[in-house]
Amino acid sequence: MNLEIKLFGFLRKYSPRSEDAFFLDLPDGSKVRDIISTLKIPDNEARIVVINGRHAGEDAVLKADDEVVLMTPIEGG
Amino acid sequence: MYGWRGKVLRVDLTEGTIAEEKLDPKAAKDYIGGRGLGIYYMNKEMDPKIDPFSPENLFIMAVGPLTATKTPTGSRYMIMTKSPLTGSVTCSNSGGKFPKEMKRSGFDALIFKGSAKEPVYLWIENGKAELRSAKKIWGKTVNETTDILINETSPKAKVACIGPAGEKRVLISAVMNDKDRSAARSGVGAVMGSKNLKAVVVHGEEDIPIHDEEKFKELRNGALNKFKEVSKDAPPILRVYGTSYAVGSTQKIGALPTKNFQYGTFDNWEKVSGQTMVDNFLEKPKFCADCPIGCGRGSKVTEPGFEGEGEGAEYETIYAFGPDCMNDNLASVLKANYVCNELGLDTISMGSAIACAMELYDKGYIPESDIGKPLNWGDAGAIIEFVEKTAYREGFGDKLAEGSYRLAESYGHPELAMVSKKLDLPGYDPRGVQGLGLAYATSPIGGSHMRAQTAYFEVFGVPCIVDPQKWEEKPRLVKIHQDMVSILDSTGVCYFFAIRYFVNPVLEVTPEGFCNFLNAVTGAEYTIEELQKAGERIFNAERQFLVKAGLSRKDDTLPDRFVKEPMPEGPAKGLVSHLDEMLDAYYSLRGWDNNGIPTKEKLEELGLE
Repeated sequence: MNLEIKLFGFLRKYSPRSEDAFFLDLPDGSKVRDIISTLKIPDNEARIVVINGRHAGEDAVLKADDEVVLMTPIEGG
Repeated sequence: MYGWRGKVLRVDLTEGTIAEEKLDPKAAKDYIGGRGLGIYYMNKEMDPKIDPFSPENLFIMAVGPLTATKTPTGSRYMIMTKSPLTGSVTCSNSGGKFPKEMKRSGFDALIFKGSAKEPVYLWIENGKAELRSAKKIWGKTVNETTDILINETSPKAKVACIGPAGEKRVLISAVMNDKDRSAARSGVGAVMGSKNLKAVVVHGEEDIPIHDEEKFKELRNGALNKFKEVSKDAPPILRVYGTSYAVGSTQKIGALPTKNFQYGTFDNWEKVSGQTMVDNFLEKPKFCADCPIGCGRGSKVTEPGFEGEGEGAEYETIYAFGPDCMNDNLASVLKANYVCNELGLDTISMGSAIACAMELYDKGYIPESDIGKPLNWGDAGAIIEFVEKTAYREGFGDKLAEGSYRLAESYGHPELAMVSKKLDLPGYDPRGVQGLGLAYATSPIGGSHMRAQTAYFEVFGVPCIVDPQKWEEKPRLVKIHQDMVSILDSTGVCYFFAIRYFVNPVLEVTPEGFCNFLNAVTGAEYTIEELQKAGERIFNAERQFLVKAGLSRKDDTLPDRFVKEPMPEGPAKGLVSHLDEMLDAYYSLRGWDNNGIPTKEKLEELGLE
């Protein structure tokens, strides 16, 4: 299934392309942690996950065409 | 005393007299310092009903016991006064270098009352204070004023001053320090201007006595080592992006205020994102005194029409001059920021006033002849022009200078001002971030996220994510965080360090780190319970003031746009703010009646009359 991935902050360096927004094709039933392992994001790289505008955990099961944003936790002013 | 200087400076601007006064050690312990000390004096000596521009309004600059001790980020101070914008108590916070220098110059607080017959500035050098004429610098910008006063006093002096906006009593004017740090909210600049007080200039060489040097060193090194550990593979993300990073965070959950808060997502958000700022405009990070983080943004714009350089932009400035005005030109947002700093204006309230004016104009409520030209959404040039006109109260700027609420009210549509207690809301839509909506409505100063920044856990995942769209748990969390921030605001350190290193990093944020640092520095032997009680006391003391000033539940509000109009699009589509339900639960947790008035029992419990 096709997934739209966006990487913010320090996570941008794990993008397989030069852009921080790209598509990823993963098997049906894949979870967020499958994206993380596909992109080789290490365990100690802090991140929060937003799927289609809602925060989610790394066990969340994905659907086709989901937008998944991985971002470094940081405060705003 | 240790930590505290043990004295405050009384300045009677009407009489032109200055006197030192001892700080009551019990008041110091019960109210900590900074914001707490400010409300202690305000409650003791002011009639909360007075006109904020009257000589009786106290104007207080207060530092905390940890300020200038080399506690990491220990260079923060509070300005406390009655606000001419809101009619409530206000505390306006700033960092930079001035707070540290003010503490080293000898005082825990500077308490101004009265009004000078002609413009003056206060100069304090190593405990000696004098009032000097500011006639020659009245009318000058913040940068000019700062340079001239350093030249007139000492190359090591630090300056807090108003620009033309404060002089003209613009209700959304700021007090700037070190040129580009800002005590911005609630028109504190206007109060200073109404007193003919142009600046406070300080220089001090006195180190702050520490009660237990060994213990303090251990705590300090511990905090710094933890910070270094977290930043060992990369500089801290706040140093890389500043707070501008938050544009992506709020966009992605549909809470980025767009078109005067009509929407929660902005199509061209990437043009005004933190990444775009870093890639195109950032020159270097900037650090406050004794801060290891470096979240400040030294930036520069070369785009014709918007050239400039200075400090900026924070997330709040970007939301207010960017998406809120439908403006995707980040260069113009930075230019607006530089102009606000130069002239002494609150970037949040200024951007929000322009966005409000754009909506009023769009809907045909303001005739073009009043403005002098069209004021269309996204007009970057007009934004800059009206920032300048606001500072000088020229033309339509004179109406913007009254703030968005009075502007909208004058055209018959106060509901289109995105404010709480007439103070413009920060950059998170309450429909998408429920807890923050409650925090805005119950903040003593009005629409502010800085009395309980629940976005830490509702948006940014610090320490963990709590669903921003859910409201049931939020009254409890808002109350806990408000009490913690009351402590923070009174100690003189910065939120950005405190939230990770001075509290237990859980949602309940028990102030253990604060307790350890305060006791090592002051020897005051706080228990956690005493410190928590002090935080609650400070918050309730402010509530006492604003209740006596005539405010109550009827003022703990959010605009109808949030409580009645569901978010029309995006991830937060269909949501309204559950403010009413949250308020009932919140008042109950606070020990206040259903009108938001602290009960007699609650006040007695906290040692308030």
